[in-house]
Amino acid sequence: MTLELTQVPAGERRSHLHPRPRNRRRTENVRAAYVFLGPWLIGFLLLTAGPMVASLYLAFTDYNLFTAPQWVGLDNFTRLLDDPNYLQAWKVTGVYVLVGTPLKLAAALAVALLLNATVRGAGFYRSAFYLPSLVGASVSIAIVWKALFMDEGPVDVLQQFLGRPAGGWVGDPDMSMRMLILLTMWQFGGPMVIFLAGLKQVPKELYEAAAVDGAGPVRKFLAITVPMLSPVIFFNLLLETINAFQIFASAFIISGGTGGPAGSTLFYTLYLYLRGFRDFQMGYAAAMAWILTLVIALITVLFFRTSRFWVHYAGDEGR
Amino acid sequence: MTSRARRGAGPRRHRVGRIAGSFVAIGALLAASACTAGGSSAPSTTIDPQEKVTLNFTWWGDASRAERYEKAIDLFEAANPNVTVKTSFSAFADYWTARNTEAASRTLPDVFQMDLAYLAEYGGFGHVAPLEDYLGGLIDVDAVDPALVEAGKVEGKTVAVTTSSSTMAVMLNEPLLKTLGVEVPDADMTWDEWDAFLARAGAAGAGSDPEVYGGVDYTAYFWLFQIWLGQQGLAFVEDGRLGFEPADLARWFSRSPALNDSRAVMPPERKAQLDGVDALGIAEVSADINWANFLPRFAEGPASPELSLLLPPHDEGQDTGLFLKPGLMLSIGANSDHPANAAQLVDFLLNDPEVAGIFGMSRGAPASKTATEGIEANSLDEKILDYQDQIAGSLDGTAPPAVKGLGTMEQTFVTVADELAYGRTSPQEAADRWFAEAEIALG
Repeated sequence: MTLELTQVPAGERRSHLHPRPRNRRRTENVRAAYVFLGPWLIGFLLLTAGPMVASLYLAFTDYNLFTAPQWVGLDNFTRLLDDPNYLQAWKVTGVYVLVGTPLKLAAALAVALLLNATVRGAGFYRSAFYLPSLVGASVSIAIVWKALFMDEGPVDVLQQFLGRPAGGWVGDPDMSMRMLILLTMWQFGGPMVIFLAGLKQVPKELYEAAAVDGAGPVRKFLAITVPMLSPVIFFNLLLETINAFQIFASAFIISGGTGGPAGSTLFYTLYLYLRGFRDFQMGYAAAMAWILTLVIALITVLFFRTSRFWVHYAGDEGR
Repeated sequence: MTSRARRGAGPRRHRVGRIAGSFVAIGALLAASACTAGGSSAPSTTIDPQEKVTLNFTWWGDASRAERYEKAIDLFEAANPNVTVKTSFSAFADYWTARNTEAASRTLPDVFQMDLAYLAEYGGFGHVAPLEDYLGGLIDVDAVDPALVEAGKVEGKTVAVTTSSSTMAVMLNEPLLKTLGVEVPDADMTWDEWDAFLARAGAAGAGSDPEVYGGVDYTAYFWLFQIWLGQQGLAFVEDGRLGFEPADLARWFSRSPALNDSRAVMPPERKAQLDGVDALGIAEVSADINWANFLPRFAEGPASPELSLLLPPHDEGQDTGLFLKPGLMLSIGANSDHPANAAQLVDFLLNDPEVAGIFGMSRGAPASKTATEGIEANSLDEKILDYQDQIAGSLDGTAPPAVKGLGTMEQTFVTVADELAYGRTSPQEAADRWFAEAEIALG
């Protein structure tokens, strides 16, 4: 006991002498914490954790919503292997993630660099460029986007003016993906704001020093901006990749919920939705959902593992 | 030391207990609500006219259908002052998403619009009430075509009442064909003659503004394919299995590439862009094969085409394969607290001539002859009724029974036909893919 007493720091000794009030206060604090956490905790358990556990179970069953699930073991997963639509869904989603995400980030970084250089009216432009990503996820934008790319729509008229073969993109399986990638690029506002904040953190002295050494703008960008910004790039890349895998609303609207034309916009989540809610194959859909979760988790781990080779945390020595 | 440890553990154990307790409470609550929802009382077939009853009624459709249903419900409520009917409606796809969730939680509306495509799921798994106790009593089906009464059966039990029916017809835009200088075909065409006609019309329509094509790629029409199967002496479903081979479907799909290579049918690129309008309604095609009761929809389209109805193509010496397709059906949720009142509402919507007068032909041809008497036909309705009379003696096909996965089969049919139209797959491959999906859907 005495040994223990000497180890208690001076500040806490007083409370140890009066243990009751302190403990009561602690209990009260804990109780209060749970009361405040309650709404979130109930929501998390009932709306997130519960359904996730349920869907993990359903992934191994044949479940049509109407009757009790039947255990089928790995059948759903083996069926995925020979499902041509499933392969198509991966192809479509893969192209979207691999092409769409880098383009979106490039657009975001380019605009952020421009805004960072501008002094006058930067606040206005920042808001203006951010606007599309506020409304971008909405159904109405997808509808407007579709209208833009129809026969005789603005894009078609521009194409005709430039002498390219006419015709809307909406009904063309070779063009529909470009439409969706353009839509996601246009919503660069989120990562742009984060890039902009990152750019403000890059110390001016580094550029000044580089200028003294005779470095040009490209050299400055590659040798200073990119390494200093790499944690922000990492963060944006990770978030946007995860988001891209989960694209649903715009693809649903633009293809009328079918994944058409000719399966060219059959995104993973859209196919999952069709299987679950159109075809009553909830078990199959749950299996797809879990594979997607695992793939995203794997990619996240991969990102973090490789990050130490290219992400530069400035810390104190950078200053 | 020990006393301290115990003091620490005390509240902790208490806390765990309390959390566990609240979980048990939540669980019990869920279980209790599940019980009340699942517990069904014995169906009553009598109505207490004094009892205040509220019924929920829901359907899919557009605003004009909603307006018509509301008028009909007003009449029903006036005749049955003790009953209040709460209504709601949505578009077809959303409608089924909502119903499916309700079915899973056993909270279906008292009365709701049903489609043949989903009848097997709802009837087979006991989510809708069997209507045997009401047929002949609260629900009068004497004036309904027996084939349509039969169509509402799943595994021998009547689980839906058919309020309307429809048949397929060739629709021709004769004035447009005359402008293009294309000879208007007559009633008896073989499939090859039909394709040749579409090609002629398409060729003549090249360069007009807007571009006019012969027709729409009819090989994507699931129900027309079933009529064609009937013409070949094959059944779509027989004894719960598909009654034909992939080779039969491949033969049907093999008509598609030639149509799409010429201007015989509207290209898929164009078709995909039609949103809320029909190719026939905007007069970008000269003909189509579609449901006869869609005539007003097409005729009242932006281009107001003047359309005439003809028998669908069939090869010489073959049946027409035509059948009355059950249109809008009505079912009663198995969880309904007032099934007798619900049955009364179903009967009213089925048989009442005034209701039929409100709907006209917009639901399809009324299934009940009592209801038909209430229709004051306009010129479009006359055309449909004339066509129905004309083919009444040629209905030698049979509608498919309600089988599980019919909805999926239709959607998949459209999907593979779409890929075929774009030339992304071959007729044989499309047929094989549809078969694989259909067999899984059929269960």
